[in-house]
Amino acid sequence: MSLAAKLLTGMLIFCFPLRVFAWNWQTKITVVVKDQTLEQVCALIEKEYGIHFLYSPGLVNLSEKVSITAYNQRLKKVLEALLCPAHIRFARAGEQIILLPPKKQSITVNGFVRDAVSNENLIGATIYDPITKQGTITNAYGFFSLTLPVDTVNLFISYIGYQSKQLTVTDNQSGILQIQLPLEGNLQEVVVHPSSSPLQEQTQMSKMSLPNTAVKGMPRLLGEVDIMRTLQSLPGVNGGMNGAGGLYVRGGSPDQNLVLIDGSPVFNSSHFFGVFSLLNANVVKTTDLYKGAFPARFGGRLSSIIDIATKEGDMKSFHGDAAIGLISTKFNLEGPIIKDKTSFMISARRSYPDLLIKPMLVQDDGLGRDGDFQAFFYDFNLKVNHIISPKDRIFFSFYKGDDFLLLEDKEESKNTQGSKFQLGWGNTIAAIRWNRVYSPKLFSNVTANYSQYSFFTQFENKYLKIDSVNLSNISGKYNSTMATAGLRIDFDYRPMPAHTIKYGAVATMHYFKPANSSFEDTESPVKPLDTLNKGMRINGVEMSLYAEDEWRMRPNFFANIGVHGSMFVVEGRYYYSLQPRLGLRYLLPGNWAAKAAYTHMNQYIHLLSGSAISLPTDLWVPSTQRVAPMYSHQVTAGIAKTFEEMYELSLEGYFKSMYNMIENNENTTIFNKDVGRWDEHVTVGKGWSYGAEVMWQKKEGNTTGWIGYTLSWSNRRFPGLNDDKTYPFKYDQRHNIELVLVHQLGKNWEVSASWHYNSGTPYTMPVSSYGGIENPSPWEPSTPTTIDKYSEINNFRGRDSHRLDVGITYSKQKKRWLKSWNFSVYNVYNRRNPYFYVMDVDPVSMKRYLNQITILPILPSITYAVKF
Amino acid sequence: MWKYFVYALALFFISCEKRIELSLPYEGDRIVVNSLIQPDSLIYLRVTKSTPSNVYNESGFPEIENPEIRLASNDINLPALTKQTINGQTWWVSSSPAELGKRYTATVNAVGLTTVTATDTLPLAPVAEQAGAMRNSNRIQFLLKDRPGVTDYYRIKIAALAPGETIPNWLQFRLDPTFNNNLVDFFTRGNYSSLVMNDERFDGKSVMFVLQTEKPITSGTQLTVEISSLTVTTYQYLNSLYAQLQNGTAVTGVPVRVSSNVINGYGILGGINIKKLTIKVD
Repeated sequence: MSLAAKLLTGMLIFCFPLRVFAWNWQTKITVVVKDQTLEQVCALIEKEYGIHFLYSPGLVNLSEKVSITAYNQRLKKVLEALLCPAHIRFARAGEQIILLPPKKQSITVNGFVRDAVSNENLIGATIYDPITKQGTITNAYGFFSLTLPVDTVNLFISYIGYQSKQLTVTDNQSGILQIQLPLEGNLQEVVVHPSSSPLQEQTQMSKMSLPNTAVKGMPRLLGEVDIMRTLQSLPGVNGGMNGAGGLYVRGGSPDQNLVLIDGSPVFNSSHFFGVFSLLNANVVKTTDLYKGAFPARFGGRLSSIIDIATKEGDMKSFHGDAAIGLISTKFNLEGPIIKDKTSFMISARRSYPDLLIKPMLVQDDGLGRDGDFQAFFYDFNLKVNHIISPKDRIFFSFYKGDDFLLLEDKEESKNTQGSKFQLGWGNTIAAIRWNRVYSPKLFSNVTANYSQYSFFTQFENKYLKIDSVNLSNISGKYNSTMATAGLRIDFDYRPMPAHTIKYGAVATMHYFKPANSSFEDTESPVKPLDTLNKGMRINGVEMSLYAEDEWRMRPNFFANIGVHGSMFVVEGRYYYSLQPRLGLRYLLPGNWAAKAAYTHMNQYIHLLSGSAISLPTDLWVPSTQRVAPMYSHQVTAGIAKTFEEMYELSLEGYFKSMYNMIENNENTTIFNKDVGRWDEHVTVGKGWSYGAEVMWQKKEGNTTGWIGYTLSWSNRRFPGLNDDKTYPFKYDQRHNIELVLVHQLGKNWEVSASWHYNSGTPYTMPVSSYGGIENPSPWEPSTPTTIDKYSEINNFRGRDSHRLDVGITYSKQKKRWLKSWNFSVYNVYNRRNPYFYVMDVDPVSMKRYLNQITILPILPSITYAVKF
Repeated sequence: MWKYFVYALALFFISCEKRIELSLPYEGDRIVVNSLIQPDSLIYLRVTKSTPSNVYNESGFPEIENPEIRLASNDINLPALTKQTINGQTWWVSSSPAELGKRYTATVNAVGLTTVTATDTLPLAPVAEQAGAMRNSNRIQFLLKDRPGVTDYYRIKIAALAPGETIPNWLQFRLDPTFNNNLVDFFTRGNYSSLVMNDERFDGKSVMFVLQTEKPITSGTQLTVEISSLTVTTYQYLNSLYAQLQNGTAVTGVPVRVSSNVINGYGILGGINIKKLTIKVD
């Protein structure tokens, strides 16, 4: 080999590894450039060192200009210095370096949304990213967490009645955001934006949210702003007889509604035999009604969840309001205990018909000289919340409300030396809650609560015995108590943009002490027949676990998949239930969303009722060997859309089947029997309800309101009743229309109107009459007996009901306070709606006829309120 | 001022009534058979017709002219019943007394109406004794010995014949609330002309029943405490009948359906065995 050939070969050997085989990440290279694009720099390296770069110009942007001075530096170090600032990734594939686009960044934004003035948490506020079209809402404590596949996000935060806010959050910003929204009324310039997440953006269906402003805008009955009556104005919700018989949601009965106040269950949700809600509406922040598609975190009732959240108290300054109306007076005071750290809210309400009636009775001497009369209801709320740290917050809430009647007659007559009658019932609720933000993606709430419902009646009678000169003193008491003590922990976990996971555990101790009576006659030598009516005391433990995932499966397909498992232990018996929950949402073109849901619910406690309507005397009892827990299946499907950012349309159809419901056996009244063996006097059956609901709502602007229509059927079948045949439920009303309008007239005036219509309620009427017999011998004295023959249950439809309520409010801002007058008229055109019917006799025409009894005719009312 | 305010408030809540002319459903004319059969007594059977519910039958329901009645004892037809008018009403009366241990079946046919049938047996007489009452008191007591191991059904009534009167009156009374340990009875202060019960609370026991009359018993009154044993058919009929009557005329909830053992018709053919304890209150 010639020298030239050797040199050439040597150069080839030397050079080949350098240009073709020899490079690795430790290869030293020299690059000195100034203001050159990355593309140019890559081309230079390729040219100088033979290192090929492979990339897609559409994905990898190499137009960014860089400057670098690197002498004899390692290849990897040089590439890192060049590419990492542009978030361009690189990797070796064979002898090439592949350039990859920046890895998608994700950002987790979390924090609280609060009222800018009072610092009150806003529940259900919407946090929305218009670019990714993803969003979330704040939970019951105003907290949100949203993970998005970007490094910088422009969030839109909105809440009804508040000015929306736009917020840019970058990856560099960490920590818990404290977003404060000012009230619209406080602003000079009002920006109108969707006040809550558009319907098509919510997988949750069959849910209605009522902010306090919506409740306050409704016309009032006797001056009372009322939550339950407002709920009755929503499609799918029936108010029973004249709105005073409890809530019947999608064909379910009142005992199938779970009413929660700040997460604690309530057993009797009304005052004055169902006419007024148990809660002063001024302390309520939001009310959520779930008619179906129940999230997995809820359980224990079949037909509805009414989740009421009360105010927490202003953290910055003292505020309050007071109102005097026709039936009651109330006040509410809130403010800081430690500014921006601890706040309180206290509220009280008392009705006063007795204060008006008692002077009349005293004047007429109807109760004797020292007689007494009291008839009122009251409720009291206290809430304290304390911010321990930005991540920890603690709440204490207490509620007590009672109805009470006392009639003490001290008038002396021939035999009577006076009597005293008392009647009362009420709820006591207490709860402590602790919120903690563990991380931007994990939030928890721990609640310990206690809820008790009790009813009592007492009678005392002093009289001179007919057969002696001695004074006899007879007294009797009857009481029932139902109580629960619970501990629950709930977690909100947002691990990644496509998933929002909620899970938790609940343990509840139930205490049943229904129908206890004692009777004493100080003078009587009579030995009681037996002691059957001594009542019973039963403890039960209910435990449940739940988990649900709000999952974005596709860009236009969403699912909420959950399961609620529960167990109930009572008197040595075990009941358990696994309840799957599923919600689906598919985004259609034109911002329409198609939704569907399936829920399985379980209920371990039953309500024994002796009448057609809910009364305070109704008894809660646990499932027994003979009466298993109630359960239901509900399937819901519908469509939803938001128009022009202020109109909402939803259409839903549902089918619900209910099992193990109870009804009194034919011809038995539960209160005349031994309560300890109540299950022998009831029949266990099934129910079905199905129908469709449509609601068109306007949520923004000077005129707001909604129109709702419900077409529904609800049927029952119980062995031993109605010859085992299916019959219509007592509140099976075919058509129901609700129209609600609230209009702002200038700065100071607001007018509202609501019109309600429902088709006739079923009643059981006789199909013929015939004579009866009481004695075997016709020679003995007797009076003719008329027997009504009843065939099918609820075979007759009563008349349709409708009424119009209107209200007008005048508000005037003074220097330090706001005063307002509200004038409302209930049943404006005095429609005589049926409350019930009576069969009466017309002796002239020799006919029996139906006499329709009506209550609540036209009722004007006036309320004066101040707010400071 | 307060007074007018109260009146105004009361006006708001006051209920009002409105007569509604509605056509009620009617099941059609049916034969009604009524007979409570007492052992050792003639059998009295009344046959009437049902009417629509909106017809007021002050003087009784329409009688069926010439019904075809067949009464059988243990499936053996008895002689034809004879027609008698008693207290202005038509009754069909057997020629011989009813016998304990027999099963009686009545079949009634009438032109244009569906034939009806009803069957029942007769119960044993109750064992009751030691009736007593005190002058000017309102308490009456008696001892009832219940049979153990079987369910017995009873009805209690009290008739009073005041001095100078020839027709007794049925008294309004109730179980003494202390005795019954029933607070609801005491609260409601309700009194009834009869009490129907079964022995679930005193099966097999001898119980001294204490009854409280609505009004004090005056001196010279002759009281008759009528304790009846009932068959289950009669018990169900009377129990539901009194419950319906007690329910009043309000149309609320599920009304009480009066039990009937008359197939294809209405009414009752039931066994009853009455024991009367008479007390002269001096």
